[in-house]
Amino acid sequence: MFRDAGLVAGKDLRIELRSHVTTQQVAPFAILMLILFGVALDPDRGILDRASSGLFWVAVLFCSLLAIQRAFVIESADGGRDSLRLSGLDPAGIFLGKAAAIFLQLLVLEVVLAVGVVVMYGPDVTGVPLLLATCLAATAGLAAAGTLYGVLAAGLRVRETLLPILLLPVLAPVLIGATKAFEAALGGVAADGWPWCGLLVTFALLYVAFGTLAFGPLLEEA
Amino acid sequence: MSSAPLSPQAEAPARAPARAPATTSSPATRVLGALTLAGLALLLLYALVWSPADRDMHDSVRLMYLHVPTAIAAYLGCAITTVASAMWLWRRSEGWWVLGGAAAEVATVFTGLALVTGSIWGRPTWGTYWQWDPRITSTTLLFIMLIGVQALRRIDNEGGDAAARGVRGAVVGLLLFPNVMIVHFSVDWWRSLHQTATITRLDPTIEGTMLFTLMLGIVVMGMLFSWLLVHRFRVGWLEERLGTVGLDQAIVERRAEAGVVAP
Amino acid sequence: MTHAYYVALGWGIGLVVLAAYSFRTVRRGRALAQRVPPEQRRWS
Repeated sequence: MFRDAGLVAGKDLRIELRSHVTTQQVAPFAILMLILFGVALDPDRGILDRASSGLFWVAVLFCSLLAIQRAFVIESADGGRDSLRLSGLDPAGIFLGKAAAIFLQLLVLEVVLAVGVVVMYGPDVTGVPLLLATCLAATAGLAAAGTLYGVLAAGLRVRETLLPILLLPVLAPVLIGATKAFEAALGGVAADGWPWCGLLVTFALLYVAFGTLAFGPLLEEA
Repeated sequence: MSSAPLSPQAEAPARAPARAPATTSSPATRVLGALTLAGLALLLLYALVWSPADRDMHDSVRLMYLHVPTAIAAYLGCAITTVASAMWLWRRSEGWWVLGGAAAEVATVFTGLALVTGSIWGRPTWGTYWQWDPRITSTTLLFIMLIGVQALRRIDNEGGDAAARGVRGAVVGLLLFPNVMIVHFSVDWWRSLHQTATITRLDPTIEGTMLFTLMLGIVVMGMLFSWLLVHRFRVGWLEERLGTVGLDQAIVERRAEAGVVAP
Repeated sequence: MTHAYYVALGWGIGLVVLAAYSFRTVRRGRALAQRVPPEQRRWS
């Protein structure tokens, strides 16, 4: 299963490295979001500073929608999905591989966003261990839930409009947890934030577990 | 509430007369419907007239007797959607698929109502139409989730007949209730850190006529929910049949055409 | 009654929506039932 996951993840990442969609399209979109927030919320840097955690994670959420759509669009070209089904790869491995590729791409986007937020909104960066742990846990949850719901919406003509309303309510706990953890870290009271990180880890584990179990039948239907 | 079968396997053997009336009603649903209407009348009397005004909320508490029962029915509908989806994934019998869709639609109606009545209740009571409290926020997210579930199921339904059932729709249905629970828990935890004076709280010392009216409301809404669920289930069941009937008829017609055209 | 407007509005919307949905569902049921042969709807 893990070997298959590695194969799928490698394939997805290699496609990304050749097409540069994440770096050339989604990352600029991320920066664009930060700028739009700044424009909308009054360049008075007091507000942006206080809201940095929330705005960061909202931007991550929207970028993840794009990343997930992209991850499944590459399959639909040239009958990629059928090839995937016929390849004999373990569906659980395919799930983990796709989720892992999305995970890594999102981490890259988060680095870009983090730099952007620090530069444009100016929060003081404290509590780095908590920040890192939160990023890893939240992104894992995003990637797992996103891959699961992504395959549900994959191959449908209405997927671009359907995926957001399916996925974003489900991801609300991730947004809440990650924002609270970040606020705790940036506010200097990291101890308050670790329980939220725990919530994120639980969420990620639940969706990884469910995804590995459910991906097989879902891929058949896609 | 065993007034009506919820799965085709459980239906009584056909004792239908040769001329079965063309409707989704049955003797059982007529009885249930009549009782529901009577209960509703009684509820209105109690809620609007016989129960006292609240000490703090005054007469706006009368909306509670509508809002809380619809919210409970909404969550019940979600639970049924999840269970039906799980059962369909396990057993793959059509009845469970139809039940999941029916429950999702009825739950959507009740969720929307719960949100609207809650908002209207909130205005005179706490001064605003919206509160960032756990229940409103997670119920609103639930509403959107239900819309998503139905959108996905509609795509599956358009796909064809009973043989081409979608795992997709069932999986989102299955995930519905767990997601609602996770979201509710998260939002609850999130908002519990903000102790504002206007957080929604049902007075735990509610008593007497008010408690009775609330319980009556819950029972009556439960009956109404069940009645709607049975009818909506049968509508869905008929739609499934129509898919097959339509196909059969089309085959007969095509064959007839071939009989005419072929030399 | 205090807040009579809100109570009336809330209850009014509730009853209207539930009644409308009920009528819609039953009417949909009738229309469909007419097109489906009786053997396939064995509840009445």
